[in-house]
Amino acid sequence: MTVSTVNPTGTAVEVSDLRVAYGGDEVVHGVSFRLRRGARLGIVGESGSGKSTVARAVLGLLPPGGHVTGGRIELLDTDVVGRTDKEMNDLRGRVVSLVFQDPLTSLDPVKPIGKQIAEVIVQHHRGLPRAEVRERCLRLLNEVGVNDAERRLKQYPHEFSGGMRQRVLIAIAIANQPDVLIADEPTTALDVTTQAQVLDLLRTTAERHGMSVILVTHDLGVVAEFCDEVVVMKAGEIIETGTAEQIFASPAQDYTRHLLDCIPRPGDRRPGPEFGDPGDAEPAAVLTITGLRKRYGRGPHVLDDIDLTLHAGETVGIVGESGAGKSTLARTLIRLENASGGTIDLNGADFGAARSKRLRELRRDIQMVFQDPFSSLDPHMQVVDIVAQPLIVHGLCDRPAARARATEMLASMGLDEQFLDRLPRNLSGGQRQRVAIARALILRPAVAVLDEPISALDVSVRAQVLDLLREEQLSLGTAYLFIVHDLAVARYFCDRIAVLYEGKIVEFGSPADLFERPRHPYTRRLLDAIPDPHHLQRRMKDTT
Amino acid sequence: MNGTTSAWRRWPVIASMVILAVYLMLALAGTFLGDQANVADVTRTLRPPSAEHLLGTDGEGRDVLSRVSVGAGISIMLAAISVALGAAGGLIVALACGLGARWLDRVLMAPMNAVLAFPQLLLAMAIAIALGSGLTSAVIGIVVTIIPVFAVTLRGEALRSRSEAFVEAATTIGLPRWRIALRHVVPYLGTTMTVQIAANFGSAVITLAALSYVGVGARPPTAEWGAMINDGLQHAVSGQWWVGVAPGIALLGLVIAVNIFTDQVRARRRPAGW
Repeated sequence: MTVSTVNPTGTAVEVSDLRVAYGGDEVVHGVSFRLRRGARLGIVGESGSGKSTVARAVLGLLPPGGHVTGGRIELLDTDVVGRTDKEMNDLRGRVVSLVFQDPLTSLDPVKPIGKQIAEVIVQHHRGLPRAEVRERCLRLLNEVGVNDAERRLKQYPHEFSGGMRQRVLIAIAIANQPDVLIADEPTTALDVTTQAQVLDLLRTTAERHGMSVILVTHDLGVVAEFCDEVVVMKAGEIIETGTAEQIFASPAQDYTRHLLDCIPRPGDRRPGPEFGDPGDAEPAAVLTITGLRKRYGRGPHVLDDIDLTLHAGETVGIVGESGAGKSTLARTLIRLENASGGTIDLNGADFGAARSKRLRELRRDIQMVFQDPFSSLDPHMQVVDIVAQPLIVHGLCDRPAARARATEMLASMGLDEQFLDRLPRNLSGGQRQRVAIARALILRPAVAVLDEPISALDVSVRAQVLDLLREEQLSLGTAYLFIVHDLAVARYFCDRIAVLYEGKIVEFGSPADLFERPRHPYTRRLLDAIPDPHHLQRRMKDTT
Repeated sequence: MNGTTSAWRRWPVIASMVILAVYLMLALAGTFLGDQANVADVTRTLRPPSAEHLLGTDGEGRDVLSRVSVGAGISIMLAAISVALGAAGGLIVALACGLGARWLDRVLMAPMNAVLAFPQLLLAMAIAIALGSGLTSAVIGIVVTIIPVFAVTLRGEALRSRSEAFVEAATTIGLPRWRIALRHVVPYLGTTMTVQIAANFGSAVITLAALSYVGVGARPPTAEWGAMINDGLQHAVSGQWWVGVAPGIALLGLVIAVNIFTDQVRARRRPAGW
């Protein structure tokens, strides 16, 4: 494997005045940027900013209906706009290649991994002997850190974990040693610690082969960790371009600053009084979990002996990687799943053992906000009916009164009358999540379980939704159990944090304790893996 | 993607809709004709197609075109009734199986799978014979064979709906299960229902004709396509092909149009883009 000479002045990709339209609607309005050979460029933006569209245009893979209406895209000094599919096919994989976002759906579930990698190799090297193809596949898997490659080649995608699948996708993308690698949200579906590993892998592979990388992401933290240069996009236009240091340390544009401000800095704290200030009376416990266990069939315990108490008005964060049991805890607690052992005491009632009618009545006091507002709202129901439904179900008021209350609640959350009769699909992600929060809080429950309520949202909307949750908490006194993988958010928002690892709470304490003095090695590992967009800023300040 | 390709892609659905519209008009005309189509006229038997009788006359001097159009009405109406009843029955079973207790699922799915194990036509025939031949028995036979088809496909979807976040959200709100079924799951099943209804309509038309053809469905002189094809068979040997071919082509055309339409509906269901 030869390391290609990196010419620092050479240009890998040059996009000038690119315009892209879907049907008649222009969505990218004259975008220009340049990617040096061997450099790593980040395109950051929120959903709808056109960042993915730009990346797809470079690959010649615009979705149906999309076409380039103007400008040039030069790949290694040749214009690729207007090339036929066949010509682009020849370039794709060999010159430019894509690492997909979702490692689960991007692999063919019915073909072994080895076959899928081999297909890509054969595409550009017809007539290569079988043994040689196999040899290359093995080498690729080894390179991306998939152990036991020999055996893994014969396995199917479902036998791989998310991080391993992403590694396989990277192997496929670099199979023909392209000059430019385009990664579209490559780590969005992964855990923090896996994300750190995958980014590391991308970086070392790109460096080893002298590849240039375009990383498309909404996550400023990832960009700060990975990229040398950054393009900030909004509504189909470039807001700001610069080196990573410039962008993060001294952003020139308000929008960029706004995006950075939306990520809580260490030391930032949500508004409102601190919980458990000395001098306050001991608040009442609203939810007490003792010895909660959950296992599926005869499998291992997914939750093992969980003890947790929630007091009125406080927020307890549950952090940990996927597979740690965070979601299972939420689902068992809310009785979407039945516990295998232990008790759940809700305001003095035995919620854990309640059945049928009694259970439905008790549900009034414990509500849930789901992670994905796209799927947690019935696509066939109007917004006002979704929010009014809980009131009607519990017979608290009749339909017109319930709708009036719902209207009020939505208005207080910034969704005025024009939104009432809309269907969920006609709302933005942030608006949908407000509807979901309104539905959960309209009953004034004692406890609300928030399962990653902001992780499906755009960065700038996250802060608004967190603020909204805090406002409602201050006015209603609801206790929140906040499931969150983003540790910065947990530190910002929670009163106490429980670290969940392999179904057990390994550490429990105030954010200050946890972040300043982590005791458990797992907590430390978790803290080390967080990508931090503010570290560049700090580094700059240190040097000045 | 420019205009011409999308129009080119859409032509099958347009063509099938035009054909279906023609059948509906034919059926409408047939209802106005009513019993007139059954009036025999021994003076003009087995006339070949002409300006007066576009599709000729049959062995008893009846106008074949009139009878084909009456037959269109019978086929469309009875197929629609069978599919509607089958869909309703299947939906109820599917909701009970997909959302109810596990034992209920087992108890209900066993007979469904048993019915599915038989060839649809044979079972419908056996039921129709058992009930005594006639159009009502034929429809009952078809409904019984259609219910499990709907039940099985919709049950799968209903099971899937349980893990949809909005259904779980309804549970956490405290909604009783039957209300979740009606309010949230039935609309969720809508698209699958549509596709299944269209697909089963075509097969119901064929089954009905087949039952009548073998003599357990419509009885003469009812102008049902299957019965007419059977009647035409005896004349085909002696050269009067139009008596049997006309209803045969009518049946073929309707089923093909319905199937093309179904395929298009199914294709549309696929989410666009990525």
